[in-house]
Amino acid sequence: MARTRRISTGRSDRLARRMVQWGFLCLFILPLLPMIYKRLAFQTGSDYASWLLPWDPLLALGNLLNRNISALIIGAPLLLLAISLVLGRSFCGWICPLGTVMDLVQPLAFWHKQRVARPNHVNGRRNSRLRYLILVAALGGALLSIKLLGLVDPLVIFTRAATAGIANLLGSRQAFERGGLTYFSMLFIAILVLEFWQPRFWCRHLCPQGALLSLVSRFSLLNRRVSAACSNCSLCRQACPMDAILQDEHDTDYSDCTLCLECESACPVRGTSFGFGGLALAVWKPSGQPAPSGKTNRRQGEYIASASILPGQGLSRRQFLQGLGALAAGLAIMPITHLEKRPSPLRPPGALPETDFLNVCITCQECIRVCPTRGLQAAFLQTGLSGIGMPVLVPRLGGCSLGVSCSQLCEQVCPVNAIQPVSQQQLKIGTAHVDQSTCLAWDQGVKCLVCVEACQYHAAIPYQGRVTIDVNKCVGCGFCESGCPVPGSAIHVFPPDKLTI
Amino acid sequence: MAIYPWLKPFSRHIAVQKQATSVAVAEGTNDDSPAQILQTALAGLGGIERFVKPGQTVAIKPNATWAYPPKTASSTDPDFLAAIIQTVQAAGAGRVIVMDHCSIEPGADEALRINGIGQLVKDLGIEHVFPDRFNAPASTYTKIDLPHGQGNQSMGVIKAAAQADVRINLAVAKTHNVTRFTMCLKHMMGFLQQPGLLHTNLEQGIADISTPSAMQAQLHILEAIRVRIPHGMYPTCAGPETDITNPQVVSRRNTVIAGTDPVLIDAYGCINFFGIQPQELTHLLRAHESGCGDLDVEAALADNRIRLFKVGAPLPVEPAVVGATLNATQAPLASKPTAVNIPPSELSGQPAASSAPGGTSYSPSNQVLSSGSLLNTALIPAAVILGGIGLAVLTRMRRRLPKEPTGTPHLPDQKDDSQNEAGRG
Repeated sequence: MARTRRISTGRSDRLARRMVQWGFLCLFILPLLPMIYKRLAFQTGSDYASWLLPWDPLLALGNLLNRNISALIIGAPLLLLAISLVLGRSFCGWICPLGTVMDLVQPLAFWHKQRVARPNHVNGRRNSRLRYLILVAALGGALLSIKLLGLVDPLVIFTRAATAGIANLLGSRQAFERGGLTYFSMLFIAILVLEFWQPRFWCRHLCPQGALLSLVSRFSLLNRRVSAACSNCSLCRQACPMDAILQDEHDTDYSDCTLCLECESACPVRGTSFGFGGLALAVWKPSGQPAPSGKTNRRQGEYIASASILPGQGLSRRQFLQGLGALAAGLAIMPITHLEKRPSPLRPPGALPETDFLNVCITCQECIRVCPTRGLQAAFLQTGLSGIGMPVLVPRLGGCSLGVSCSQLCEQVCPVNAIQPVSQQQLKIGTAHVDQSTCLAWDQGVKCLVCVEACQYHAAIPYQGRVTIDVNKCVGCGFCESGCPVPGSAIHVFPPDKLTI
Repeated sequence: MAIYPWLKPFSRHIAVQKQATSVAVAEGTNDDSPAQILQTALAGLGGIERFVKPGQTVAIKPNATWAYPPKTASSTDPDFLAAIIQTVQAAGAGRVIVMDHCSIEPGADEALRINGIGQLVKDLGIEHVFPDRFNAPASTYTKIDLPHGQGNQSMGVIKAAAQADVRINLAVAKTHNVTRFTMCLKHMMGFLQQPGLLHTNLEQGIADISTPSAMQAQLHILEAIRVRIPHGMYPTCAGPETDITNPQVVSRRNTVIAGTDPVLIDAYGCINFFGIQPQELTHLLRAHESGCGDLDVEAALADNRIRLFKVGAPLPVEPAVVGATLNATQAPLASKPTAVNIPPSELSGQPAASSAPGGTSYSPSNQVLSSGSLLNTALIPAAVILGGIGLAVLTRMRRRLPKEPTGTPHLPDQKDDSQNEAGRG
């Protein structure tokens, strides 16, 4: 009877968590749905900014360190940190969409039961501290460039993967559209593959967002409490996907615990419960004698406040040096980026100067998702290694309709303000140049002049049946290039600094 | 009127014998509504019943591709379009489909919103096909043969147009930056899948798509209520100017020309609206050479294939006027500003004057919304989240309930444990 009741409790717990996880997953995917609809139904329509990125505390901290004050959102990330202070890393266990996808994939690893039975603590190992080093590197690098932060932030990874998945699944027209997007969804897939190696491998060892939250959550007010009924059977430790239960089953590492409640439902004596109490800084002190109650090995004891697990106190000299190394590595990202010789690409309208843009863009690819003409594409290797995944304008696929039909959506969704608001009068993406050897009008004397018709700026001027470009009027929107009937286009937009006639 | 090549030498006789009038020109005044002028032209042609039989599917192709307000002679006037739709419906048409390929930036949604045609088709509940770069799956189009085409033997066109029984081409008389002027012939390009591709051989292409084929229009109507006339450095196909704000760009002519011969309509338009000889337009010449119609306006006026009508006048104008019309064409008629007749409400949506380069005089609607319209949908996952949290809390409470009457927290644990052990044993 007790057994059935235990199972039912576990089921309702797991159902509750799944409901919350699914709810948040749907909530975060909801703003991406218009893109799916538009591609499936061949419609045009509104887009929405991501609902996930504004909550990102890591990104907010990165913006702060990068002195990117105009893009800084304080309220929501602070709220998330406050939630972490009260409810621990419940964000990771209940809200994080990447974690939800991991939990969805986890049941596929049917051989994990044996693996989990031997948690790391039994072998005297702890969860890797690598995630703290990644956090230090990402935040240290943010002083100069938040490129690394954008690469490792799980919320950005999820945003990117969702966009890439949608774009790839729903038939992109050109191979170009797949390159950079696919490249970045590889990171997402790698995280899911690691899930087969160990449950929540990313969260345990690598996630800098989790590392940031665990700096706060180790003071969590909601605690796991194990009564004296505990029989040291270690079933809770086997059930814990985060390996957060320490050597003594009574003690919990709140920098790892995601409050998934698996331990509570796994406990055969129902001695585990969760409640508010100042146990985050307490350790279980056994009183020594086993309880006189038959066969089970019970130990009496109590939680005693302890200062030994305060952060920073356990920082060894070695760990400190590791941190310094990570900081140096993070800071080195930017100079290495600028060593590379790259072809200068066409950036979105109002993009920062190229050197700044490379430092500020976190390649979340939101601008690519919302671009109404689909002219913005993720670069793969066209703009060099450091430009992978960053938005470039590909006029052949679609021009920039800023001011014509678009009120600069890319700027509105950019979470780091790598794209600045710009008016139609100030717009200058590049300059069009007619290739006279292939242009129908120049080469064959055909009265084509599609570019003249397409030009919204009266910069393509027909003169005696030929077309010339008024360099002062041309803003490089690229509609001429997208409309040109010549295969591969006879008119090309070049970046402003690259135009040589 | 389109003629098979081997019939070409006899074309004039056939035209005279079979149809007394192939082109009807209706002229009105500023007081006449577009619908009145249209009805006059159609009546002069023998009524819409001559083209639309009850139960037939009718494809109407207005010019809907330009994102400029009505009355700028950029796109078809929504009032005018409404008049033709209602006329066709009154004739007993089974289905009426309005279509145009919106190939010009900023695409169909925005263009239809601004030129008023989107609202019109919505209000009238008319079937419509407005493909643009994004909203058109491949199934929107079909490929048809042009058996008489000299430059193109096949062409991708809007499927609904090819399948319709009757196609009505609703063109606007205006200048064009490539072909100088655009009227009925050029306007047929809106039926095509890739109008841009026709530009590789534009003049012959325009002629080809008007040869007898599955996309040939049975009735051409040229709307010249307002005409966009040449002005400035080079001609514009569209713009924010109206006949009030820029009478030197948009001229008020209050004329509607309906007919079966697009070449003859265009030739008449060349002479009367733009003051050039039809032969000067290469695509008109090519169309004539391909057998799409007749270029000789004077002869057509003489044998009553073109007839002039005045709105309100019951009798057709005698052909004696013809000579005077032709003579007057050397000096284009002065534009007739009509500040008095247009109510201010019609002007409210119009721009004051042509604006900066780029010329956008409207506010783009295509913005990232403040997520407001998504919030309703978000209630569903939010409810699931709240339900999940509630379930978790309720589970906690239910587990604690048996503890409360006992007073000491350890007792139920021990009881459970003993049961558990018993179960194991």
